[in-house]
Amino acid sequence: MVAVVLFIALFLAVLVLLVVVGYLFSPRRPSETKERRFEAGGPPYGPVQRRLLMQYFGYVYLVTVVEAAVGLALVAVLTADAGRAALAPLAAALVVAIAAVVAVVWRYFKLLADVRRWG
Amino acid sequence: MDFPSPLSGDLVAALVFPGVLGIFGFLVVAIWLERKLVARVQWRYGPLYVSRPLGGLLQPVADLFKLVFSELVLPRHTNRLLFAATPILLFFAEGLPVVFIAAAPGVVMAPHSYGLAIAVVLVLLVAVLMVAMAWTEADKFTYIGAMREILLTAAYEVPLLLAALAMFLLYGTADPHKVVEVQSGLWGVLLNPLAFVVYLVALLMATTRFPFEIPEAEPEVVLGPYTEYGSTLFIYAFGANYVKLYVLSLLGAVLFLGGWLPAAGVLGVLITLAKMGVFVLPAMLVRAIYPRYRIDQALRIGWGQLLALSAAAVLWSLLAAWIW
Amino acid sequence: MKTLVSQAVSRLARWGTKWSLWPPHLVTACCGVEVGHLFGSAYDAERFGMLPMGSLRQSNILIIEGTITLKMAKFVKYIYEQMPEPKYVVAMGACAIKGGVFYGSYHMVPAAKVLPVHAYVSGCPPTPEAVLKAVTKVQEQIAHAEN
Ligand code: SF4
Repeated sequence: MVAVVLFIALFLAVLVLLVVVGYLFSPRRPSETKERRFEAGGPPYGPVQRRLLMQYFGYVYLVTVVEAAVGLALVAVLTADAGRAALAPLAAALVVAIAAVVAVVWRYFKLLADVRRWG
Repeated sequence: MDFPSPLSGDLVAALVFPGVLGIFGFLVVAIWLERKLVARVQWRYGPLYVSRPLGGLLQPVADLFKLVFSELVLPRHTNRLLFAATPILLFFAEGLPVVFIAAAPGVVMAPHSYGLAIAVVLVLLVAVLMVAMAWTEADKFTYIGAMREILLTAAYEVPLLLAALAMFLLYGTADPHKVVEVQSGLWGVLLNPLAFVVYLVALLMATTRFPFEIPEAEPEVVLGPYTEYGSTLFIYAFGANYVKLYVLSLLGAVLFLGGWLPAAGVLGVLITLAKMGVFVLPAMLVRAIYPRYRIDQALRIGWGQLLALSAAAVLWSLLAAWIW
Repeated sequence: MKTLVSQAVSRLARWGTKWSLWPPHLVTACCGVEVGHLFGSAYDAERFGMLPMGSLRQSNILIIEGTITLKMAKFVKYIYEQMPEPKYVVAMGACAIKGGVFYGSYHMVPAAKVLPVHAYVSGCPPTPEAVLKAVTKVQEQIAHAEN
């Protein structure tokens, strides 16, 4: 536990320190132009047209977290001593889950083929 | 808990090898190696004159000093606090899985019986932060980059998870020590080569190395999610991918290549380091060899061939575990 | 103490900047072809630590590649102003010096009228070696700069 705390503290300290050092010692000449949005060399006209909407964050979280959590649960069950006995039903469940995913992929493939025909 | 003696394994892990020094050292060596290898393929020298006798090894250090001591611009249209905090968090979160991975017997910060599984999950959770970073920048390039990042994440995540799951099934454990112990006869790459292939490709996708360098494709979206960052924050935003490469190759070395076997102690750490090269070197070299996929092609690979391969790897492991 | 620290910092910063000059992509005229060579296999500016960068937020040297027309001068100026602070300019080609083949044209500006230039490269177009020479000149300027 000491090691984990030490690692986290040291790691964060180094990261923050570098930013602070940079902020203190770098030359600073703020100007209105510099703080504008980067538009590949041209001046920006008005606010950005499209930006990531915050409400989609839920989906992003779904995409990244759910699979990870399910995976962790699977590993926990399968590698526990008692879990070895439950291998067969779990394998069946896994196959069903994968079959569901494969079905989605199958549908996506067909959609993709359609899109290509339009293009 | 009694106070650890000066050189106990977990402190070495925290401070030296998988820990802080390892991460920053890897950043320097990997960037130098990448530039040198690519230069070699393209008949160039690569970084050289900054330190002639070392073959330009100090180049990333010079870049670091330059970036740290150049002006930090916080664009006006962003939330400045979030703008400064997200890359730090991203870099930190990318390095966090290292806590659960062992580099040699005892050289692990938090020994846990599901250590490797937790590390895989932590790696997969980081993509959210990358998107958060792109969102705070509020720029059209970062917006497109973030969308591509999400799509790519969705494509590599399941195969990566299934590849790791196949190995855990095969070994019957996710404890780093036991995983390596099981491999004392045959390495994981021989026990389940399918999972290894899937892991390697998913690693390239996860670190957005070249054939999948889609979120930060330079001709299309400038630098993707890193576009607005300069100065020290650029090091974090850009270096986070290298940290991910470090974590994933360390994980791969333990999971597939027998970790520190056949040695232990300091020699074991060195052997783990050498085995990481099996993942790092191809990741560096593909940059000079491959063109870039389009996003739909990458998605097709992820949800098509790679998913099928990883499902086959899981089946292979189930069969092998059954017979064993 | 304070001066000691600032001296050490300045030395480190100058060493870092000297060996890591990153130009953004800005091609205004035909000299851009030679800049392409500059990063190719025969000349390899990466030996000196140069790395073409996509975004202005990380780059710190602006290579003016030949002619700047009045129309483009606005954008050159804008790009220069968006770059973060220690920044350097190399003006490349006869056009950027005085006009070159377009000398006396109503619509062209010498680089020095738009930006503070740190080094000039002569030629039409200059060879990549000449550009590298100018880059090393800029490096020397950085190394010998006052705090
Ligand atoms: S100096 Fe010559 S090559 Fe360069 S921009 Fe002018 S005309 Fe073109």
